[in-house]
Amino acid sequence: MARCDEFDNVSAWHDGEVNPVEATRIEAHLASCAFCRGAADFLAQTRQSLRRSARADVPARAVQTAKSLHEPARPRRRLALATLLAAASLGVGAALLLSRGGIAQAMADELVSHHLRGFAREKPCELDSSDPAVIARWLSQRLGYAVTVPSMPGAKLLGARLCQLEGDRTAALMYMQDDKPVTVFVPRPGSSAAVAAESLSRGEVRCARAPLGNRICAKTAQQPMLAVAETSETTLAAALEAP
Amino acid sequence: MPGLSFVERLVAELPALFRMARKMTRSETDAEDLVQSTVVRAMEKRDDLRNEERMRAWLFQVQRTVLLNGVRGAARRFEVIQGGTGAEPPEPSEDLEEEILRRSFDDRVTHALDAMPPEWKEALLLREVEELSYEEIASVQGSPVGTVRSRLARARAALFEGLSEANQESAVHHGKM
Repeated sequence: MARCDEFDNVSAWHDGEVNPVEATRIEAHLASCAFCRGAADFLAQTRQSLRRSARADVPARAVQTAKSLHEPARPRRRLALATLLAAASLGVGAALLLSRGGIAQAMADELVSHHLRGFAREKPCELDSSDPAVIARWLSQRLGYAVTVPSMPGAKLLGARLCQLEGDRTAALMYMQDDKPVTVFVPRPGSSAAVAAESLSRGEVRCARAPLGNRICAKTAQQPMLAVAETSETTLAAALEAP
Repeated sequence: MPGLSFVERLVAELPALFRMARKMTRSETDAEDLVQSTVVRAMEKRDDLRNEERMRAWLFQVQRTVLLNGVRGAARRFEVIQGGTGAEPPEPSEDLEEEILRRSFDDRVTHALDAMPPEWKEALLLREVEELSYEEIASVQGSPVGTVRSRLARARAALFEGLSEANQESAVHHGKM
């Protein structure tokens, strides 16, 4: 079928993306051009067809996933009311204590996001190695600070990569534990991630709920670190608790 | 949608994200992976959203970036999304013959859509299904408005030329659909 030179203009007219003067001109053309009239009818049919066949249903689980990103990360061990009252009597803000007991939502989001995106890569690790010494050396050379590579009993060390946590280059150690990916972030001492680990840990291994069904556990025994995995707190904490 | 939080507005746009993801990936599983990754990425980049009224176009832009960077089955690997595959297609209407012709036409449109360059297909879906303006499509695709106009015309010409036979057949049987 021979094509009319006005087809592109008819397409824009169909979208309402022409000015009134142009619209009047195109409509006059349509009255005299059978090809363009047929084209305009066809464009209307295809619009209906495309809308008919576009399924917009959303799996319930996808809604839950999106909403879960909004849930605040909660500490596993809540502060006792007596502690809060005691703190209040000492003039210490309860809100401050509560925030110290968990992990900030933004930090939890960022840790989970890095964890998911790291393992979603074709090649998750920048350095593939199961040798903690090799990994520690590789990371220290690139980051300029010593990185402790925990042994994580029951988890297989896959390697490491670098990432940015709130603007600080950070070590990300990658493990597999019972077919579940685990990322252990070892941030620069004094960085916001290191402070977050210290706030959550408070000297021992403590965990918080995180988006998308993940858990974040922190420890500071050798240096501040944060482990992220979609697994139980018990499993993740047990692995991280090893010396 | 004033007064709603970012997540509430994000959830409200999930149907549009799924609609577009299904069309672009042609796979329910890949669409779920894509939307899943888009949601995570949108949460991460939410401070980049300058104009809340243009959230849908912004989300399509995020989804496009995720798609171009490759989803690589992240959601499958992590089993973030679990369960079935969503709703079944609608039941045939009472007028079966008309329904069959309509579905046949829809199938041909879908087939022709899949055969065209992804940028054309994307522009056409953003315009016809999501009703984005040329300016909004230009922001999603990172292209000048003139390029969007041209892509849409070319996509439609490809559809028209590819389906003219089916269109005529349909018109003979039932007139305008």
